[in-house]
Amino acid sequence: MVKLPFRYKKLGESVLLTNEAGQFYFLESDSFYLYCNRPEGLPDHIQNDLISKFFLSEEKDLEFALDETAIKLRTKKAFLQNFTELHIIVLTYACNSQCLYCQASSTVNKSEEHYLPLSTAKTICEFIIQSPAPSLKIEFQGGEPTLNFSVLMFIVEYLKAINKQYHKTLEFVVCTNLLSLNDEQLAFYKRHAINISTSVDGPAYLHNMNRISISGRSNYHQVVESYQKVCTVYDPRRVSALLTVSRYSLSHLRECVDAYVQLGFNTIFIRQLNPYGLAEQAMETLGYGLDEFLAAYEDVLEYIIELNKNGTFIREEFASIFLQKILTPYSSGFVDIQSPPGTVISCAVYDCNGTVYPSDEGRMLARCGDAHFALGSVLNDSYCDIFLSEKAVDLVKGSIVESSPSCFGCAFIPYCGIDPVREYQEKKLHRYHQSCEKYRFVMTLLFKKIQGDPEAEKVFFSWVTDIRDEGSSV
Amino acid sequence: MRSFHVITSDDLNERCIIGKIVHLKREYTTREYTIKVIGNRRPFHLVPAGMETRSTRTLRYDNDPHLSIGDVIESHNGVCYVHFSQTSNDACLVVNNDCNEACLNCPQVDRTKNPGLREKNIQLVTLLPSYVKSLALSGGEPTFDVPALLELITTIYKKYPTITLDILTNGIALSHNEDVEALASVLKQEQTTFCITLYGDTPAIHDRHTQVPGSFARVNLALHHLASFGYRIELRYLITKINFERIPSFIEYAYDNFPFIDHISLMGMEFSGYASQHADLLFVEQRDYIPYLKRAVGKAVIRDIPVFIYNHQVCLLPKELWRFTVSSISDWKRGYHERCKRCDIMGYCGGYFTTSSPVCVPSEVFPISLNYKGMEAL
Repeated sequence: MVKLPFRYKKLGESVLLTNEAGQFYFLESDSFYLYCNRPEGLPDHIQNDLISKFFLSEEKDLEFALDETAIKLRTKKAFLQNFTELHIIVLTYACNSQCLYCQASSTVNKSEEHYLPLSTAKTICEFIIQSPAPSLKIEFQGGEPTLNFSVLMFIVEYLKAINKQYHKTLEFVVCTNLLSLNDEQLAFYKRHAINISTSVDGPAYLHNMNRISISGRSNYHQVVESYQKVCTVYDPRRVSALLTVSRYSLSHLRECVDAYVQLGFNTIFIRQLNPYGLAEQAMETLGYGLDEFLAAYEDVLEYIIELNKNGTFIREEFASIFLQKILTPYSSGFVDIQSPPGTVISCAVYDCNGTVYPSDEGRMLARCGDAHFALGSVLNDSYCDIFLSEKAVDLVKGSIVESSPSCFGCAFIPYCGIDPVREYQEKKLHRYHQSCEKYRFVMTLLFKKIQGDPEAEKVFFSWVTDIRDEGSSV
Repeated sequence: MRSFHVITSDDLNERCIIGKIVHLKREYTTREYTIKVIGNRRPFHLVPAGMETRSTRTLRYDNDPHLSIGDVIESHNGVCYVHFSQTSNDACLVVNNDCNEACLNCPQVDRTKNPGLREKNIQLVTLLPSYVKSLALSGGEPTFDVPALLELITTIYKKYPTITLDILTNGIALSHNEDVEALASVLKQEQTTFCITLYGDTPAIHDRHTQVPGSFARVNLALHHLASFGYRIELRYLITKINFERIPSFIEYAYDNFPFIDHISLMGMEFSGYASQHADLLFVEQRDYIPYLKRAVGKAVIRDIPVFIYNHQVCLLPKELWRFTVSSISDWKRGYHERCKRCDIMGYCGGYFTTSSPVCVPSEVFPISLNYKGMEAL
């Protein structure tokens, strides 16, 4: 018997094994000792399990075992073949809301320099379409991108027109607070099957505490009104929402989930405050420690799992990013947690002035005065100048978990990733390894559930397969 | 393939006759069949034993074989084989009798080499009725002789351009990508399903059944080749005494390694042919593996892999598995107990293999009585 390459982590009484392709297996400590020293001594069914999961092989089958693992690794890293899929366009820095934690450093100032001009938008489109990826996802960001709606419409229509030559699959997402949704916009979304990503921070009192509207009307009620309009006129499946956790909502997350269920959402993304943009200055009043967040997250995840067990389908999106990678042979489409990193390989961001960044956080940082991640400009540089620049290549090379010395032994490597921009920011703020700590905590939580709670495992699978009603159970 | 004994006149005994039923005469208790024979204008008659007939070209039978017009039959050495029957759910061509594995569980009776098969199959295709929508290509091992298989497929497509083909294979010959490429140049992706049999989730367990070292590695490779050409794939897991504890982990194995498959079929065994000689090694009572079967189906369901249970008697399965069962045994070898006649869902149940040796036929079957509140379980 030959052991195949593996990593391990002690989880309570047992040991979690993972391999390069993301397969995993739990062993009791005694069995783990045998596995390491004398696998022939393991009971037959455990030996077979370990062979089946590619942790063990008979000598004569070694080549087969390595080939199969290589094929699975290639499937897990298939996102590398789609260079570059996600393109984020910042349409404006102007905004009609004054959220306390705004990370995009938006402004109520409506001067021209805060809007993406049509001419630059045209150049950006011509730039994006050169991407070799067969399908492209265009995300409109702000500020509030719908305040520059004519340019949004132009981009959608112009990209579709020039795509007639390229035959790529195009998908559009608008990240909007839904405050200024009107019938014309809704008709446009419907006509072009545009997805809507919005923010709901919980029940009215919490939402309005974080997200302060300029108009004086309750921000929450405007969002809900718009959301319901989208549901009736367009399609509820086209809207998803983020829940940004502030100090105010930290101890009320279960209430927030109830608000989501009540509104009819099937998904909820529980997001920690980002250490970028305005939020950095407001950290004193809005912020909280990582420990506090993780404790609250564990509690609310437990609550969400219970809701699902009792028949309410609601998926927590942050956990699902990891579950997708842990439970399925594939990766997740989430660019911030992948290795090699999503920056440049999977994602590029175009600012109002045509500057290109490797991620949304990169441009937010530039907005706060640190242009470290600016890769060039669509106005002066060619596609290859930017995407193959030394800066871009170095960024990727420096953030591969498989070759990072501090990650090397970690059992969670197959499911993890470093976001170089975030790491840079964490270093700058002397908050080292915050992402690492957070990811490890969440994955430990998920693996414990998978091991010890078959009903929770079922819920997790329903999140990654998106089967909401499986009929009578087996 | 269904077969029955015929009594032939001496000059026909040595010859192989292939033909199609063209005429059927109903008598009071039985029927008389006329067969149009390939390459001969004179029809042959198939008549009940003991009945006088004017024709010198006569095939006689003892028990009415219940044939219908359009059925394609072959008579050879006193045995009549029904190649195609209008009333059967089993339309299958035996591409050849050779095999590159020696599976312990092989239900095949005829394992002799048959050099005329290639030409015979081409003839059979011309005899088949024009409405045939799908055909299974079986063996032996249909990919044993790839050029012969290609020739047959080309002939089939010429007559039936839109036919769907199920190719029942052990996959090991398809571990050579050149062979898959050759097949792909002829075989239409959207009209083909490869039905590939696996016996385990580890090399040792699978190879123990096939008796060919390295066969598991090769079938894995074949699956990847077939997937890269976009073929639909059905995995068939045959449940035996050796592998029944591995059914749940097989589901995980299939999902981790072959996420591209169309569905998985969990199959009960037919103990005929070579398999009946290995009953002591392979036979396991259904009740002994039901907990494993149940866990396996549960794992498939949460992973969104369509899963079916073939060749099982519904009354011996727990209710929650009923909706996964398929009445899959070919009609001519499907049997029911006397008791089954009182069962409310006999028509839904697949029965058991009459071809299996009697010790391997479940004896505990019982009639199910539906109180109609329980109906939604179906």
